This record gives sequence, C-alpha cells and structure tokens, in this order.
Amino acid sequence: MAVKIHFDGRTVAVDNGSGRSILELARTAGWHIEAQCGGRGSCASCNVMLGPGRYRVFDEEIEVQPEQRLEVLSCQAQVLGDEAEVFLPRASVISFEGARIADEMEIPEHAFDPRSKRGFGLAVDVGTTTVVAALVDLGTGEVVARESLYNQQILKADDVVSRISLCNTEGQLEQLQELVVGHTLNPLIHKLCAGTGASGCDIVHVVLSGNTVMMHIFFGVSPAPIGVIPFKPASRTFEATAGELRIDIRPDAPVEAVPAISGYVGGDITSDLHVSKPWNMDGLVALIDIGTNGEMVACHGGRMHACATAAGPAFEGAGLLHGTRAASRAIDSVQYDENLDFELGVIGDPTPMGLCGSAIIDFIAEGFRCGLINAYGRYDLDMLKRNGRYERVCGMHACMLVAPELSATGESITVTEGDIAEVLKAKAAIYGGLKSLLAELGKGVRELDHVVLAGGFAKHINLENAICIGLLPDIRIEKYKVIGNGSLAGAALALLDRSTGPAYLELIDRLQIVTLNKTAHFINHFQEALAIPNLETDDFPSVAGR
Amino acid sequence: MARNEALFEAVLKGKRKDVAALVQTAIDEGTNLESILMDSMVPAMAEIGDRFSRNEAYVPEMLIAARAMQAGLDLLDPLLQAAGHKAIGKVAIGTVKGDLHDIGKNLVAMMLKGAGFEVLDLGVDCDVEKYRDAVEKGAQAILLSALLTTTMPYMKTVVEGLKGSSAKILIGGAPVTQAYADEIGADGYSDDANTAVKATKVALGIAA
Ligand code: B12
Repeated sequence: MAVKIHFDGRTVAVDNGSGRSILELARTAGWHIEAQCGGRGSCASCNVMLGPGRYRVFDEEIEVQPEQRLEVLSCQAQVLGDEAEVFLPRASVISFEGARIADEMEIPEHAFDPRSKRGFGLAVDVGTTTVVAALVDLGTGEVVARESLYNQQILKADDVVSRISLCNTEGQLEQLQELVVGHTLNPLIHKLCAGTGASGCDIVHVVLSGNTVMMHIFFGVSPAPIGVIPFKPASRTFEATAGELRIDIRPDAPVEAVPAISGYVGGDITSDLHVSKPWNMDGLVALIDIGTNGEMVACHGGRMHACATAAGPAFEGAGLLHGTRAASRAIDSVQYDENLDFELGVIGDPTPMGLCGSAIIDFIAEGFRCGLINAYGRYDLDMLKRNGRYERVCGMHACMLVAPELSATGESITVTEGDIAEVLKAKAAIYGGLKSLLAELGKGVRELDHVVLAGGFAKHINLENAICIGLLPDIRIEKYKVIGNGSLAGAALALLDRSTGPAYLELIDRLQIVTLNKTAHFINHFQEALAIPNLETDDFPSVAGR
Repeated sequence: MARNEALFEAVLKGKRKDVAALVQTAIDEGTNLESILMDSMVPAMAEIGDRFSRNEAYVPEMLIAARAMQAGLDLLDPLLQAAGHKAIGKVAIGTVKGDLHDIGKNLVAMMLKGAGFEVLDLGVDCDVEKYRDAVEKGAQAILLSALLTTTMPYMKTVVEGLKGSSAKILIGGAPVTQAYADEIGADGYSDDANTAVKATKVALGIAA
C-alpha cells in the first residue's frame, strides 16, 4: 500500500501518498523534479508518466489502467487512493551531479584589514540557481576552501519573479528562506568545516552577495514590491546576526549583504563592479552578466548607467525541448560544417542527455556559418534531410544531434526551430538592452573599448560564436575580459578589507538606473537583434553576411 | 483590387524600409488606401500568423514582420482616419497594472487593426478604472495582457471589477493559460496574436 516511484532503474515506495502531488511525492522519494514555473502548471518542465492508479489531474479524476501510461504535469497531478505507480523521465529530474559551477574567482589587490584577525570569515555568492561559499582565514587572508550547491529554492521555482509570486502566498517566504539557509548554506558550512578542520564556532563574520530578490528572501523580508512597477526593493541593505538567521555558526557573528543598486540590479553587480573597477579602464566600458536577469552597466568618463534586460532562462537550457543545466551529461560544445557531422563536448559522463546554454550558442553560430540556419533562425530543410538529420518534433522542424541509441534518455537529442527562436529572444534582449543603454550615453556598441563579462556562464561560452549569433558586440576578442565569479570575490573582499563596506555604499549611489522600456529605442533595438546576427548588419562587420 | 506583390513580400520578409517606400509610392499613385492595407499588408500579416500557427514561423520572424508592417501603418493610419474608415467592432487592449511589457500586446493590437477592428490602446500599467473608461467609450471587448507571474493575478481583479458590464474580456500573455482564463471567468484566451483575433471574433459573435 504505497505509491511506487520509478527512476533510473530504481524504485522507491512512498507511504501516505493520497492527496499529495506527484511533485511532492517524488521529492519525498529523494528525486527533485524541475518546476520552472513554480508548480503553477504553466510550463512542462515537471512532466512525468503515470502508471496504474487513480489520480486527480487539473481537477479531473482519472484512472490509469495497468499497462497504460499517461504523461502529465506532476505539479498538477495528485494521487487518489493508496496505490499508484509513477515513472520519472530523466529530463524532468534535476541532477546535482557534476554541476558546472563558477567558483573560480580572482580577488584583486587589496589592503588586508579585516574586522578581526581571529577566526574565519565566510563569503557567499547567493545565486538564483547556485550558492557558492568560500571560507577565508582572517589571520592570513587566505581562501582556504570553497564549496557549492544548487540553491535549494530551485525545487520550488526557477526564476526570481516566480519566487516573488510564491512569496505572496502565506508561509512561502519562510519556506524559501529555510531552503536557502537550512538546506543550502548550512550544509555548505558543514562541508567547508569538515574539509578544513575548522568548526562553525570559528566563523565570526559572513558577507553575502547576490541579486536583490535573493537577499530579501535570505533575510526573511518579502520581495513582493520588486515584482510590480516600479520594482522598488524593500531595502537595498541587509544586516542580521547568524543566530537570528539560524546559520550554524557563532550566533553573534554579523551577517551582511553587499548592498544592491536597485530591484533588478543587485549586490552581485555591486561586487562585480568593485572587483573589476571599470572606471579605471580607458574609454567606454560595459560590464555584462549574461544570465536570466541580464544585468549590465555602462561606464564612461565617470558616469555609470545600469539596467536589467530580462533575457530569460534560455541560456541555462530552460525552455528548450532538450535543454539542460550545465551538469553531468550535458552537451556543452558543438562544432560542425555543412556535412552536419557534429563534434560534441559532453560534461562528465559521455552519454549526453541534452544541451546546455554554451552548446546552443555554438550550434546556432556554426549553423549560421555553414548555411544550415538562416538569419531568421530557420533551417535549410534540404540540408537536414540530405544528411539524415531531419526530424519533426512536437510539430516543429528539428535537427537531430544525437541518435536515440546514443543518448541517455533513449530519445534523440534535437534542436527545434522553436528552441532557436527562444535563444534569439534571449540574445535580442541582451544585445538590444546593451545598445539602448549605450545610446543613453550617446554611444554606439562598436565604440566599446572594453567589455567585462561577469558571472559563471560567460566563462564557458565561445566568444566568437557569441558574437556570430549577435549576442555580444562585434569588437576584437582582446577587448573582452572574463572575470569569473565577481560576486564571490566581492563578498570575500568585504571580509578582508573593512573599508570595502563603506566603498560599496558609496558605489551604489553612483549608478543611474535606466528603465529600458522608457528609452526611445529599446523595442526597435530588440526587434533588430532578433535576427542573426542582427537586422542592422553594420553592427556586425566581421560576421560574413548570408 | 489586386494584391501588390512587392508590398506583400516586403511585409512578409520584414523589410521595413521597402514597406515604407512601397506604401508611399502607392499613396502617391492614388491607390485606394483601404486596398493597400486590406489587399496587401493585412494578408501578409495573416500569412505570417498562419505560418506561426503551423510552426512554420516563430516570434522573432513575426515581430520583424510586425515592425515592417508598423512602418506602413504609420503612413496609412492618419490618412485612413481622415477618410473615416469603418470598423467591424471596437475593442480596447492594455497591459495590466504593475506590468510594463507591451511588445506582445502591440502585436495583438496590430493584428486586430488589420482584421478591421477599431482598437483603443490603453498602454501599460492599466488599472480597473482605465478598462472601465474604455467600456464607457464603447469598447465591446477588453483585452488584457500580462507577462509577469506577479501581475497576472490582477487579471482576476479586472474581471471582477467589470462584472455586470456588457464588454467581453479576453486575456493573454506568456504566463497565462486557458485553465487560468477559465478559473477567473474570462470570456476568451489565446496564446498568440493570430488566434487572439479569432478569439475576439468568437467572443463578440462576429463571423470569422
Ligand atoms: C522584451 C522583454 C522585456 C523588455 C520589455 C519591453 C517592452 N516594452 O515590452 C524589458 C527589458 C523592458 C523588460 C523588463 C523586465 N522584464 Co522582461 N522580458 C522580455 C522578454 C525578453 C521578451 C518578452 C516579449 O516581448 N516577447 C515577445 C512577445 C511577442 O510575446 P508575448 O508578450 O508573450 O505575446 C504573445 C502572446 O503571449 C500573446 N499575447 C500577449 N498579450 C496578449 C493579450 C491577449 C488578450 C491575448 C489574447 C494574447 C496575448 O500574443 C503575443 C504574440 O504571439 C522576456 C523573456 C523571453 N525570452 O521571453 C522577459 C520576461 C517576460 N521579463 C521578465 C521580467 C522579470 C522583467 C522585469 C520585471 C525584471 C527583469 N529581470 O528585468 C523587468 C522590469 C525591469 C525594469 N525595471 O525595467 C520575466 C518574467 C518572469 C516571470 N516569471 O514572470 C521574463 C520571462 C524573463 C525572465 N525569465 O526573467 N522585459
């Protein structure tokens, strides 16, 4: 008398399943199902197959017969009765294994002047997807260990706005806070201590850096005002003690956040700026974080403008039919020519299950170069068919990259035209946002002297390919600087040098926030950037026109 | 009147400058204004819309075509208004309170105009009052757009706020679903600009 849940050749029986959603039951069984929309039933990331049993699906009672299988959204399906059988497809289960996480950081030269030279400090980058923590010896100033984990809030919802929506429901804010503190940071602290022989009691100071919504939730403050116009945060600065937040270290240790610039340009960007100091570089400089929120800052002659461009999660592989996070079994690079012999790079286990963001950029760029993909993101169907790569998936034309027998899912791995369209929207938001931001300073994109790329994703992309698809400006590669996890470095700096905190407070007021939809040209720039590389081909002289 | 093939193709391919030039030439040559719109431009957008429904075109292409179409409309609209162009119905569309996304809403508005509706564009960040005003101004259907999961719940507030009025309410936008439309009691829903026109006609009992 139990609900049997099958995954990856294993079966776990969960008792008292009646009335609970399959999403919850799978979690109880130890498997975390993707819920990109926050379990609202508006995406399809949590698909599962129902076996024999009685269920309620979208308010309708359904009985599945033995031998039958029914594909449903696990967040909208409840088990009725005591017995049922559910099969989890690989694509719906979040794998924590082999996740490619940006924990590399470069801490620039600094004064060594911590608040106390005894014990350890903890620097934490609280990302929407990943949390990275670094243990710093305050006596020597050395980073002695680093650990990372997915932010366990992803079990509830993927992007920041979905998490804000959740907080509008009684009790959810507290649950999200518990997920990031109790289920993410505390386990990280235990690992750091176990690895170094330190004890939680030796940690005397914590600095967190992350986007504004993450900081609100971490400190238990509702982020609701950031969800609607005028997107104002409840606060830009946060402070508490470890005891108040139930962090497993000395209860009186101060915990502070790197201050945010605005509701959508957070403390992580404050950190990136402080670490890379674009105001010390010559000429026109842009700092870009290529991610779901697409934050960017333009800096020229002492003036700084910032905006968020809302690219969406396509670069994290979300929203693509066979997209996946950059973890074990993800295809992370692709090379080919008009013969469509795909040369694939795969993370960890060589049997792939899907493509992550860096691979989809490669795929589109190479396809554009060899004529497989035209400027509007559509396939040359003859070329696909000629090379035995054509498939029709979900009613869409698709290119088969990996045959069923070679993939981990038992299904072929494909890229549909719909997937390409998603990526084009995301890259158009970033490029269109950058062009509009620079226009506010009276500058053009090709006038950029330096581009600083922050965030984990930028470390893994092929810059030539990113330029080829029109995601990044067509300037010489040498003008790009990839800084890795500037957010973590910024938090570490605040531990190491006590003058950093005041510098942050001064910095956040130096930026002027640009509301993109109020700029004269954003929509136009966005629409131009929907083509590969751009309808304004003058912007991309080095990308051979087709 | 016959279709102006060059103009049709230019809209379809999203060639904005060509569209503007071709429309200007047609105006200068004294071509019937409604014919420019209804015989060449609207069929091009309808074609894109149909391709979209068949998965033979996607949002980027549709927006690129819409941008070209807009360039033509900018030239035609004032002339058509002056000439007293007659509409098949009057509707209002706006993005709900708290939300500023209007690219999808504008696309829907353009398709509705193309289908012969008079469209009151209420802009973004619209509260119940704004929609009510539109009903008072004679809008037979009110269309709500929302792109944020945080602003979508406001659609329910609008549906409740307009209870008892004669206007039909249609909703749409990326996070919105048919299930949500049913839940809040909206009269119609669609997930793209092409079917939005059909849904509006159905709600108003206008033959397709
Ligand atoms: C362009 C864009 C913007 C532009 C908006 C410009 C404008 N004037 O509209 C800008 C950059 C200003 C913007 C801002 C924000 N955005 Co924005 N944005 C997008 C983006 C990239 C594309 C949206 C779009 O225009 N799609 C194209 C149109 C054609 O599609 P559509 O709107 O869905 O419309 C179609 C259908 O839905 C339907 N339809 C639409 N309305 C209606 C109405 C009716 C009645 C009917 C029947 C049908 C219908 O027909 C249309 C045509 O087929 C998406 C991400 C993505 N990749 O999709 C994010 C996205 C919508 N934005 C998002 C967010 C969070 C924001 C911000 C609030 C925060 C941020 N991270 O930047 C901000 C505000 C910040 C600030 N202070 O400025 C999130 C929403 C997440 C969520 N869970 O709700 C998204 C999904 C990105 C993400 N995942 O983070 N954004």
